[in-house]
Amino acid sequence: MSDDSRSVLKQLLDRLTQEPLDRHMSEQETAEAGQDFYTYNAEEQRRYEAEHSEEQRVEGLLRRWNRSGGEKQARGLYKLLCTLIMLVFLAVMLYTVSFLPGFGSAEHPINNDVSRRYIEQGLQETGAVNIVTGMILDYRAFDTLGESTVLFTAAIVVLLLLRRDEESEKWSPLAAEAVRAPHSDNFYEPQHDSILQGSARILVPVILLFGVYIVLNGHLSPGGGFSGGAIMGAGLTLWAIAFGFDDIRRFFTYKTYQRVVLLSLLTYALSKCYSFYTGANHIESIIPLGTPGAILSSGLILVLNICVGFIVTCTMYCFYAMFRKGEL
Amino acid sequence: MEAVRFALTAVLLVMGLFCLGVSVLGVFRFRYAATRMHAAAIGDTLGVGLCLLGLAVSAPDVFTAVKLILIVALMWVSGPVCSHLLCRLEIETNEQRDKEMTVHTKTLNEEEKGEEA
Repeated sequence: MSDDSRSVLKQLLDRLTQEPLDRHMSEQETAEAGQDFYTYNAEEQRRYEAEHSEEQRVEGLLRRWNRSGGEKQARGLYKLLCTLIMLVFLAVMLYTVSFLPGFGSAEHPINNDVSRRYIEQGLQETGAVNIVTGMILDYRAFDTLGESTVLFTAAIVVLLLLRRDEESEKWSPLAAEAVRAPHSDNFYEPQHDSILQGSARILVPVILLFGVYIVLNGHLSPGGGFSGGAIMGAGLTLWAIAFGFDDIRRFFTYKTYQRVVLLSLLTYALSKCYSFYTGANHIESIIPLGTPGAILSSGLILVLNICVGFIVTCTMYCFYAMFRKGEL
Repeated sequence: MEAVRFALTAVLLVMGLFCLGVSVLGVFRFRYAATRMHAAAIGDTLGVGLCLLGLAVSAPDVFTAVKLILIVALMWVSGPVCSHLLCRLEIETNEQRDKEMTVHTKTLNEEEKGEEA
């Protein structure tokens, strides 16, 4: 970099670190002036001119910097650094990969006693025909409790950030106005669209029933709380799009949401507490495993699936409602 | 019998894939949202329908075939409704609507009369 362009850069940086001279006019001042535009008094006129000459000076400096090839040099440096960083990352990743065991080798870390035990004795120990459900809701139920809690926490944060209630509208009339304004997305939402409503009347009951089937059948066939909950949430969302949030509010309000999610999480935690307690102390659990393959079998897994299904359904619908309208 | 089934499956699958290919080509080649949706609809209904019908023909038992047909039914109910909503939004929000598509404000009879006069 030449000396000339370096000195120009230094001047630019000095200029940028100084306090801006800008003075923004408040809404109150506009009202006092009684007009849309604002006339400067003598003091402000002087400041405006000073700012203007400053701007022109900076502009000239930038032009000189460009002419002296400073921009080209900076771009070259940027490309060089990018390439270097990518190469370093590539080397680190490839070096890490070289430590992985070969594909399909017998001494693979996943080919250990744990997975063998899951496959061979999962049916007797959990009573679930679907080994995956037996794993995530019995052997690793603590992990799944954590996942449900993560969903709950995410929903709480979204509620905190996006929920629009009377309190927030009192402080910001703009927030209330924004929803009804022509430029907001809600203005164009399909209201009373008969084609959508007709197809939703056919589809939503089927979708909800299918979701319930997947949740209840989780220990017998592929599926379970998470997938079934997602399907039921999609059904609720479709109904909300077709018939509006008021129609959903007849049976699902903010209070319902709170109660259902909290009760589900509590039931999950308490029932798992019981089975952890009995398991750790070698006490016989009073919950029967039942005959594998029957709908009422595999102990607590059915209950846990229902809890997870409720949590996922509520969270999905809550996310949709929050991002769409800011209220349940 | 097996040979007939295989041939039927192959023909249906190839036809479905052809429709899907045409629709993908249209989505990338057409210029405006409404025309692009017209192209996408071919793949959504006819392409997917033919492909799944072909798979249903080759299904091992009737139950699997019925499930595949049910997927076709779901696609045929949901796809056109989505297109309808998208198109409605496009008509309501596109600022260059008149340039990109002809929106008929008169009925066909009125237009013919206007041309005659």
